[in-house]
Amino acid sequence: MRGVLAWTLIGLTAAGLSGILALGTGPTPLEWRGILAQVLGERLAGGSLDPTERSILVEIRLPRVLLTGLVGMGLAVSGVVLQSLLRNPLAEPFVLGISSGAALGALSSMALGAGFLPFTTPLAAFLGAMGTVALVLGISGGRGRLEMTRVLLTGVIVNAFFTSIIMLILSLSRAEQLHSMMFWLYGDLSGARYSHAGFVGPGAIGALVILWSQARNLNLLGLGERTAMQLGVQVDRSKLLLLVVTALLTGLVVSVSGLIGFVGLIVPHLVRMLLGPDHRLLLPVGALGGAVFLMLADALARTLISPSEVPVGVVTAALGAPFFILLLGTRGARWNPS
Amino acid sequence: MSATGVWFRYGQEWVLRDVSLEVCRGEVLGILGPNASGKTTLLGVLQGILKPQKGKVLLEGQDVQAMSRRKVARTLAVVPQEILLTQSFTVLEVALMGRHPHLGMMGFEGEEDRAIALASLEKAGCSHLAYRDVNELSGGERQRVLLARALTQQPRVFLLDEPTAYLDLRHQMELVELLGRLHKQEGLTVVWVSHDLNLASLICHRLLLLKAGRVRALGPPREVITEEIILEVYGARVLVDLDPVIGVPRITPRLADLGEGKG
Repeated sequence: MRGVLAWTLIGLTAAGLSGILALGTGPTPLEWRGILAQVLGERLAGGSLDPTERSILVEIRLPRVLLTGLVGMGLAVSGVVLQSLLRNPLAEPFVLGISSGAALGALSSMALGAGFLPFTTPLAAFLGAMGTVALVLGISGGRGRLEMTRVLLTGVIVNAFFTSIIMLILSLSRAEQLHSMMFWLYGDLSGARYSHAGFVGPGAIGALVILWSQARNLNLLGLGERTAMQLGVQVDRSKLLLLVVTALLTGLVVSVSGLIGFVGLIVPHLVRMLLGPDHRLLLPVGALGGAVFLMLADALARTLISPSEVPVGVVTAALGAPFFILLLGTRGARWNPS
Repeated sequence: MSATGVWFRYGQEWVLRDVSLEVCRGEVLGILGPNASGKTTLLGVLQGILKPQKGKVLLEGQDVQAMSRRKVARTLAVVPQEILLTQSFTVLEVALMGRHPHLGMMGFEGEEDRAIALASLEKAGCSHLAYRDVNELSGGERQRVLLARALTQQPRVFLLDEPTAYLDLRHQMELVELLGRLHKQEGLTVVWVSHDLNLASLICHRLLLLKAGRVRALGPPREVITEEIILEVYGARVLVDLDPVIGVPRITPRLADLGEGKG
């Protein structure tokens, strides 16, 4: 309990610092004292922003950093849960076919020319994600019980099928549409608005609380379903709840950010290596770790070829992969294949 | 704990046919039978994980199928053959998992739960391992940890699923002695599924012998372990005599081509 509080505080501090760093980064750098002054008052922070800077901060940077934090949180938490639930260290938020479903929804809306309307693309992506999850759970749970191997395999197959349709859409699209579609597929936070954060925020926080309430069940499910049952877990109910909530969370997050890879794979492994296997600790700290990771990655994505932007998914993968290999070499994975 | 007229099948074929048994409070009951005779299935039915198509299982007077898993886990603990871990929990963390059915939804273990887990580790003779990674332990040590986890559940009934299957002779004996002590100290009711007829005969008050899903014999070891019954159920020729020290039946396999011995 004390460990959870301490680590959560550390995580919150890290998230706060990364947030300030991310807010200050961009074509127009903002001084951290000036950013703090917006919250603490100018005298306490010892700096100030002029009106242009303030409007950049409030209207452009803040919604983006908020949304980035939420997205990073959601992806990391989904990754933690799915890796444990599917007992597979390669699992990440997109294994259930959610990514391809969301992409199909988003790209269809863009191809139909609805992309310029506010919120059509996120909504289409969310509906696509949910439809896919319903399809995957429907197919794999057809015989009453949810068998995780079946869920995983069905997800892979559905993913493959939808990807082929996505390729078809891409090949038929006009050049000017292609650019935004590619950005969406690699993860795009440049369209961030407060309304997006408002759409994702409550659901994501709610999902995190529900998932956290299942943390001990997740620990026990890691010992195998039979053992979990023997120790008093309502296994079927718990699994379904975990899967559905994780899917909702991923769908929400993906709908406003596109497919940002690697966050949901690498952050869970990082926190596991650091903190061990207890989900009561992993879920809150993983959430904050995901927020930190993505806020920093997005800050980098905005500065690398400033004033232009790199898709954030490119940065997460390019940063994540070598870092992960380094960690595997030095610390050894905390996963033992069963 | 009792089962009355239990029938169970996974597919078409009945695996358990009209199995009835009663375990008295404080008794040690051994469940024996050849491979595929239904031992493991019966264990699943007794703990309520498998739902029989006919008949019912009562746990302290209540239908086990109607009880919540939490409630079952507070009454009955299962010690499996081995522990499967994909992640590195410490021994104490594994023992603390036994508190799960006693905790609320969001709860963390408190001082009392820790004390119970530590006491269980002590009783199971593995308190010196408390902060070791379970994956680094030997088979015998792991089995003790599982025993400690089961004790931490503070159950009144222990179900043991061939706990000695992967242990060598000395560790088997140590585990059996430990269980004997715990059985006395804690007043536990024990149901022991075993392949080892001699071990079962040594430690169980009564034995239940399954043959193709039916109860072939149920009674004290002397009545169950006879040359005729073993030949009939296992299709194996054995010599049954009495253990010279405590007088329970013991078997010696007779191998056809050895005749009267190697000389």
